[in-house]
Amino acid sequence: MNASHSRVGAVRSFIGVAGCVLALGLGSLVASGAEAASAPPNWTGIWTRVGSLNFDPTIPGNKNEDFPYNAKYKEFYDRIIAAEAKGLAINDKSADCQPPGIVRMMAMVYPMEIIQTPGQFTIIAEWEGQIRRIFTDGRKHPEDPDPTYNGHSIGRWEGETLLVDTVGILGEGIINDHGAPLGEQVHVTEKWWAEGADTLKNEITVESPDALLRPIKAVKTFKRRTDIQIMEYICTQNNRNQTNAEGVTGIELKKR
Amino acid sequence: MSSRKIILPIVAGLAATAFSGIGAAHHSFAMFDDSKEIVLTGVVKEFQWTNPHTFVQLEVKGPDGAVVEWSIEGSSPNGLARVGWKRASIKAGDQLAVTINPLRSGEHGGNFVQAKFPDGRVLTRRAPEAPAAGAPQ
Repeated sequence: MNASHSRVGAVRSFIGVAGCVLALGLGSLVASGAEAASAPPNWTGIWTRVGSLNFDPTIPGNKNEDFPYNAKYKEFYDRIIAAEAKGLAINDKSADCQPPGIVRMMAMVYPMEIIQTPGQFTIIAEWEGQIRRIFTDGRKHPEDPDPTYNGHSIGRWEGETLLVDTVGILGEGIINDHGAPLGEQVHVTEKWWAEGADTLKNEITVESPDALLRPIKAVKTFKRRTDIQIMEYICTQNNRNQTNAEGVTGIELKKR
Repeated sequence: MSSRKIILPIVAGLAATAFSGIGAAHHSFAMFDDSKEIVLTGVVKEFQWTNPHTFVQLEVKGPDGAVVEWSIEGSSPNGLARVGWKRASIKAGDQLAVTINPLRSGEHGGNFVQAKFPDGRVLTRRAPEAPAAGAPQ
């Protein structure tokens, strides 16, 4: 029994090894540059967040978060929180249909679609139809990039973990739904990994040295969804919540 | 049975909290008083199935006979479609009793909580069986 089985086993092992060699060979034909070493996991698909819209999704959405602000930004944040308690939102740029910016966007109020192609990891957020292109082709950041809402992102695979670095982020953005402010200088790093086939984790670290005394960090969780599609979201279609002259979010009554 | 009576409001409270997480996406909901609920009975003038928010324009007759138009803001079509709403879920001419969290300012507007039709059908802002997507896990 053992002899025949071990022969079968040996043949199977050979086929297995040959298959791997073949697969690696094919892989190197289709992959290029930084991705050639090993095939990264495939997270292409639609994902929805788990937890609240706070920076730390384990903190309920109706609770304000504490951030290690310097004196200047603490005074600003305290004013924002005090106004909110009185029913006045004073740092609510998305009410005017401004994109949320990379930090708040990654809370993912609506689903996101990940599309992996050679050299690029693309995240499409349904909210505001925002797109992040994370270049995984080995390129570097441009020198002194013009600041944009989502910045310039480069990523590299370390085994089955995707490490992303983002610079060139527009200043005075927002951290969470409550209008917690960011400074002029913002740097974001992310570590993405999967836990099983249907759970994705993103450990996001945000530095804003002119506003935060130290970096802040949180882990976001996403679940794979095969039952939904990404829908169109055009904020300017019928926005009745623009901020008033004092910068306070309102509601336009009796439109049309 | 008595324990059920106690539990139900708590569950309802959690659902409301979960929803406020979703609704707060496009803008802060601080202007609405979510500790208060009022019921408006009237006729739908228009249902706006649009982003970033849906609106029910409801004509409500006051005690003096004068008709007042209320602007009732709901979630986005994206959020509502995923819990079973359609663009014709509410139509002009529908008679509705709409529960809202009113504007703190006292103006004629509020945040949609639920709508009840004369035949007893109720539209809520989330499907009863749907997971609380905004709730902490």
